[in-house]
Amino acid sequence: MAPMMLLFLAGFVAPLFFVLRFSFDHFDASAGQSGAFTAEQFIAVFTTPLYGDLIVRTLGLAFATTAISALIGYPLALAITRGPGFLRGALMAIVMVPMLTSVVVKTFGWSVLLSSDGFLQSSLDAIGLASVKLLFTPIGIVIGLVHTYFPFMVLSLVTAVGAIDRRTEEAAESLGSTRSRIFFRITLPQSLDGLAAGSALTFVTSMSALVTPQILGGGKVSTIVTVIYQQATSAQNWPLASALGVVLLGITLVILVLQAWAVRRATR
Amino acid sequence: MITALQSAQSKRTAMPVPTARETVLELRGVSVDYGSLRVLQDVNLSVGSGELIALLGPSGSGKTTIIRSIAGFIQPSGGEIVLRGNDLAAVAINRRNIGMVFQSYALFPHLSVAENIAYPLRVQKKGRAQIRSRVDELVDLVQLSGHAHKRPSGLSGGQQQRVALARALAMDPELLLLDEPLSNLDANLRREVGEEIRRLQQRTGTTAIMVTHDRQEAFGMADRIAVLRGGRIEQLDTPDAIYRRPATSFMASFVGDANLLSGKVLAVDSNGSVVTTDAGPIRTNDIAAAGAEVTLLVRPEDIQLTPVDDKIGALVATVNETFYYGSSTVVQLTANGVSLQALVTGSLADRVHSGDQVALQMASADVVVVANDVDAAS
Repeated sequence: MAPMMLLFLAGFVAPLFFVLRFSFDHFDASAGQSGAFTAEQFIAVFTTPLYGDLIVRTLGLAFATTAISALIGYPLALAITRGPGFLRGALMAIVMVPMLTSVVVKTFGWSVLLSSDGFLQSSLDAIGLASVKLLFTPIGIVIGLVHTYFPFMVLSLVTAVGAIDRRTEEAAESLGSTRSRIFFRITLPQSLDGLAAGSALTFVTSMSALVTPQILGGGKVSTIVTVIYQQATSAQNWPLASALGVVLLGITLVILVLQAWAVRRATR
Repeated sequence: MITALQSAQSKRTAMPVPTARETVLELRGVSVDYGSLRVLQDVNLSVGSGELIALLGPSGSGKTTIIRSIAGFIQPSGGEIVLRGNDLAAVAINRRNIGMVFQSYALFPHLSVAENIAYPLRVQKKGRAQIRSRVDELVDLVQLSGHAHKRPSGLSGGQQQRVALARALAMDPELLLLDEPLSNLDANLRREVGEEIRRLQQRTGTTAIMVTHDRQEAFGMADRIAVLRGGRIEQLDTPDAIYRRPATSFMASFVGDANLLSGKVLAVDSNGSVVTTDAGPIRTNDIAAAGAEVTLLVRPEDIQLTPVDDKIGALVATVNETFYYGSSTVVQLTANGVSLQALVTGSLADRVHSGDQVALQMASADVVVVANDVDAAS
């Protein structure tokens, strides 16, 4: 146990501590970072509209990604757990492939598909929706994020849906329910813990994604993480990057608490 | 088509159909196939209003297939299922108004007892006050007052069973289906819960079909029993008739302990027949053809053991073993090399010991001729 604890402290707790410490340092554009204990970075983050917009946009992208993943995830999870054998294998492979592919490769693939002469944008243009742009827009980023992170949602839902006693659905049907009522009153409530776990994972990972918003946003759409990256590398403003990182961590913790609460409610 | 219907009808007339009751459900020549495997073969059944029919059979005999077909979870490959004159083939599961109590109860784990029972009423969009009073009434009926707010996981098996029953009864079903209702209960609870279900079914006047592999359950609860074997109804009759006059030797052993003796009909008169068996000559009230090879059924409890010198002409047997079961004692006997079983009750059991010679007496009315079994599965 002891060596593991040391490894954990050195590799996990210490970096977080340094990030936390840096976030209270002073930064001057000409002199750079200097040791201090000031909340100026946090004040800047919470009072500058620019950063407020950044946080809202990041949460919005993560929320859209999570919601779309859930909408795609339920039919997939139902098909995987209840469909014929050949379909299960095929769908599971489709779900797993994005997880096994490099995110850089996937994202450049999407940038080709989404670009102005790419297949998707041309299709939109052809049906008169030329005003809807995909590449370097939030829509493009959400498409990329969904492709990267929806497997988390599907795998969580597969576990939860697979654990449901199907006789409860048959009972509901014999008691007069329509298909949609069975789904919303019987299947969905019994898989809420899986939905909560999948949502938390999808939300947190897509909120913290760097490569996808960086490439598909093309510098025109920024998120907390792309700004952290830019501040830490080109601007060398580590205190601001750290403060944004701490804010991101705080949001993550809130979401995990919400998830735990939702699971407890669902399984009470 | 017409001939199939006629043959189905002619078969139906051979079975006792309750005449006093209005017919609620009719199965006409229902067959079910799983791929190339035929699991139900030409099943005909008529259920009268307020009647409880037990489908009794070993596992794989098709009894659950019958009720799942009636509920609509299985599409029969042939025949008709008719509920109150309506062919159910065209009726969706959720419009059949057939209540089902599942073997695993299938209660909604995320809803309370009251919400489970209210579920079908909510589906029917009943008013709030109406739902509440109906739920209260049902909670009282199944004696779950004080448990209405609990989740199913907080209830005992017997309580969960009663919730499932109340939920199925809540929608006032045309027909109630019970799939092995007692199999998930402790052995000492089964009879009590079975009797309670029977009482509720009679009090509410609900027409019901239950599936069971336990003959005691079927005997204790049902008005009529359909014994299934290999996807066919082997015999459909009252519990008493099934027990006293089983159609075949398979039936005789399936519904209770049975002494089956094969022999040849020696003499026939207007009072019955005398059959020579390996154990000795036995008299029966049944009339059989002289010289025919027949099988006789004598239930163990219908054999009386008396001292040997008591009567001349009785069968004489040797007591091999006795097994004491409290209210009764099972006596294993050999008569002329034929193994027999007798059931002795009361203090008589004290006087029977292994090695004793005893005379066997049986009333000729208690000896019945049964058909030799032909394998129904073939």
